[in-house]
Amino acid sequence: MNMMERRQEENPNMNLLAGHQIFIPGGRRGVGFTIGLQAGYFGADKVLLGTREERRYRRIEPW
Amino acid sequence: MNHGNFSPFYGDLIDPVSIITALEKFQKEGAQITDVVLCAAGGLDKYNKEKARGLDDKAAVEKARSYARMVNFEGPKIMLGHLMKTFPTLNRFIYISSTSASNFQPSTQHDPLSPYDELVAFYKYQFEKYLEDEAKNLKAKNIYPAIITAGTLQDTLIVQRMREADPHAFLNSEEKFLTTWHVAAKVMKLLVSDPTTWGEYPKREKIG
Repeated sequence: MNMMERRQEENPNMNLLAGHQIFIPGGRRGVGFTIGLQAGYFGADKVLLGTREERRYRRIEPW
Repeated sequence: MNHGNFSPFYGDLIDPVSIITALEKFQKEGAQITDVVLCAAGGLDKYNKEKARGLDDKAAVEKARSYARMVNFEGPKIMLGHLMKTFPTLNRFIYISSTSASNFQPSTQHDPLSPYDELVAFYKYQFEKYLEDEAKNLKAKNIYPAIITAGTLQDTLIVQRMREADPHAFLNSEEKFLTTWHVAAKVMKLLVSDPTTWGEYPKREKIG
């Protein structure tokens, strides 16, 4: 269970974005990452987060 | 790679095939994309590299131009076209723009333009125009465009690049406390609202 799944379990009222699948291209180093983080926090079904740097992609960890 | 509700992917708007490949993979896995938040911006990275190689400002801008056009305008256009064809579930297309792009006036801009205005603001302005021109077609397909115009965000890579290009940038900026969290809050409001009630398309929101 990752951090977001744990948070959802602790606080089911955070499911504001249930039903949303959000595609965020080019978001590893700025606005996109923060938006992805928030969307996960508010219970989006899926966050598809892109990076254009393969090197960084390999180092992405679940939040 | 997939961690529960989080799926990172590799894609580069310079190479739209990489974005389309990622979208096709998600489609095969059963994803039903409902919202897109586009915040990619580029060009200054390339410009700074050319400057570091010894090119002057003008030559470095020209070397970076096709890259900047692709990341900020052509790539997003191709991506949106593919999304429309592939994901009938798509409902909101939220574009994060910048004050310089939203206020860009081709006929009255100062000459010479800053590298940011030449490479990023101008092509982001072009993409805003594209969304305005296409708004009716998008809406007919239940895709609702929105543009968030943000001032200078202090915690982004592009601001780091702007400072590399001009160490004096933002010294007196009143926007110095704006961060990505302000933008994220505005995006969340759009994501939970009913886009059919937005009233204007693209819906415009300003931060800073």
